[in-house]
Amino acid sequence: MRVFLAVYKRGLKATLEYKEDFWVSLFSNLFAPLISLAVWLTIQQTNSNLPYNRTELIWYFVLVGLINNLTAAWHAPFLSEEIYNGDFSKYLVKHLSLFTSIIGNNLAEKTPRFFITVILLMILMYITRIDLSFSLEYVVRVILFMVAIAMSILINIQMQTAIGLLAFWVHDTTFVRSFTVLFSDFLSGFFVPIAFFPSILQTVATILPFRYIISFPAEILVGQLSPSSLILGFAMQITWCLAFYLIVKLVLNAGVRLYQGYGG
Amino acid sequence: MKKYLLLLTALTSIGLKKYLENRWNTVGYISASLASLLLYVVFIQVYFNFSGEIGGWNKYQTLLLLGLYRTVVPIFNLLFFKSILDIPNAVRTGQLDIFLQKPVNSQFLLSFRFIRIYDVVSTLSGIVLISYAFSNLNISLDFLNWIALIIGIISGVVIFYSIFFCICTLSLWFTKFDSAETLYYMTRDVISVPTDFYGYRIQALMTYFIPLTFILTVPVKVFFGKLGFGHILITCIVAYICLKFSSWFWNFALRHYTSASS
Repeated sequence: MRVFLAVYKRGLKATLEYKEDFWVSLFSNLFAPLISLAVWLTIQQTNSNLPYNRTELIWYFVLVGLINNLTAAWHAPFLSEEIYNGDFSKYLVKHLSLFTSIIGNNLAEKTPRFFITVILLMILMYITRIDLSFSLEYVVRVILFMVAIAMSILINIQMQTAIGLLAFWVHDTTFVRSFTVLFSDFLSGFFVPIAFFPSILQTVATILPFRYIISFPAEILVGQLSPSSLILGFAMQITWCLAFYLIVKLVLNAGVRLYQGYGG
Repeated sequence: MKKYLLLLTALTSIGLKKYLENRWNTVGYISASLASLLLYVVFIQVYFNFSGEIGGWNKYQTLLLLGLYRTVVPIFNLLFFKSILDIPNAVRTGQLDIFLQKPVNSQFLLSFRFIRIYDVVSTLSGIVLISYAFSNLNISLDFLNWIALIIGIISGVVIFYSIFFCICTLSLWFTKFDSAETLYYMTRDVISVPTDFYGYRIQALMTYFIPLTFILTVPVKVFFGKLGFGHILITCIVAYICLKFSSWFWNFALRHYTSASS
C-alpha cells in the first residue's frame, strides 16, 4: 500500500506539473464527440425519426466526452518502450509490481480529471436546466453508471497493458494500437451511438469490448437501455474484465521468460 | 535548393530502410489503414441511412471527399506526421539543440526527419475510393475542374501541415505535450466529412478561425461547381499565409526556447 501511495503521489505531482498538456488533453477528449454531435444535429434537421431525440443526443455526446476522460488509459506505448529499452527490469527486481505502477499512475492522472468532470457536469446541468427529479429510478441509474465506469476503467487499463506487453515479441507495437484506436473509434459509440448502427454492426459492437469502455455507461445514464440490455451489458463487462485479466497474466508470464533486459 | 533535395533523398532512403527492417510493423500499419477505409465507408453509410442529403451533399459526393481525405492524409503522414509529432519529444529530451546547430533550416529538418514510405499504399486505397465514387456520380467535368482540384488539394496539405506544425510548436512552452497526438487525430477526423455537415456556426469557425474548411471541402466544392474557381485562389492564399505563419511562429517560439539538456 505504501508503494502504491508513493506511485500515486508521484503521478499526481507529474500531472499537475505539466498543466498545459493536462488541459489540452482534457478538452480535446471533451470536444471530439461534440463534433459528431454537430453532424447528428444537422441530420436531425432533415430527419426527426432518429433513435435519440435532440436532448438525448446532446446528453449522450456530452457524457461520451466526460466518460472518455475518466476511462482513458494510454500506458501501452510507454510500457512497450520500457520493455524495449530494458527499463522493465525494475518490475522484476524492485518492490514495485507492474500493476501497482500502472494503476497508481492511471488513478493519479484521473483524480484531477474526475473533479473537473464533476464540476463540468454540474455546470452543464445548471445551464441546460435539466429536470432532475430525484426519483428512485434516477438514483439507481446513477449508481449503475458509476459501477459501469469503474468496470470500464478496469477493462481499458487491462487492454492497454496487454497491448503494451506485446513488445516482448514485436519491437514496435504502434500498429496494434492503431488497430485498437480504429475499432474503438467506430465501435465504442464515440462518434455514432450504437443504437444508430445497422443490426449486424450492433451485434458486433455488443460482442467486442469497446462499447463497454465508452458507450455503455452513457447509455445507462441517458436511459435508453431495457433491463435485459442492462443485465447483458454488465455481464459482458465482467466477461471482458476477466478475459483481459487472464490474457494479461498469460502474456506477462510468457513474455518475462523471453525478456533479456537489454540496456536495463 | 540542391542541398535540401539531397537531404530529402537521404531522409527518404533512411525511412525506407527503417521500415523494411521493421517489416511486421509496416504490414500492420498497412492492414490498419485498409481496415480504416472500410470502416469510414460504413460510417458514411450510417449517416446516409438517416438522410438522403446532409448539408447539401449526397452520399457519393461525400464518398469522393472521403477518398480525397484518404489520399491527402497519407501524403501528409508520409512526409510530415512522425517528424512533427516528434518535436515535443525533441524539446523534452533536449535533442532539439542538435537540430538547431545543423547548417539547414530547422523547420525543414524537423518536418522531414521520418519519412513513412508505406503510406503510399493508403494513398492508393484513397484513389480507389475516388474512382468508385466518381463512377457513381454520373457527371462530366472539365479538365479545368481536375486542375483546380489538384491545386486545391496541394494547398490543403500545406494548410494541414501548417496547423499541425503550429500545434507541436507549442511544446517549446509546454515542455511535455503528449496530447499533441490527440489533437492531430481530432483535427484529422474533423476534415474527413464536408464541413457543411457541422452546421453554420461551426463551419464559420472552421473558415475564419482555424481554416480547416479550405483543406478539402472548398476544393471539392469547386470541383463540383458548387463554388467558383476564385475560391481555389483564396485557398492558395490561405495556404501561403498559414505556411508563413507557421514559419514565423516557429522562429518566435525559438526565441523563448530554453534548452532542456544544457
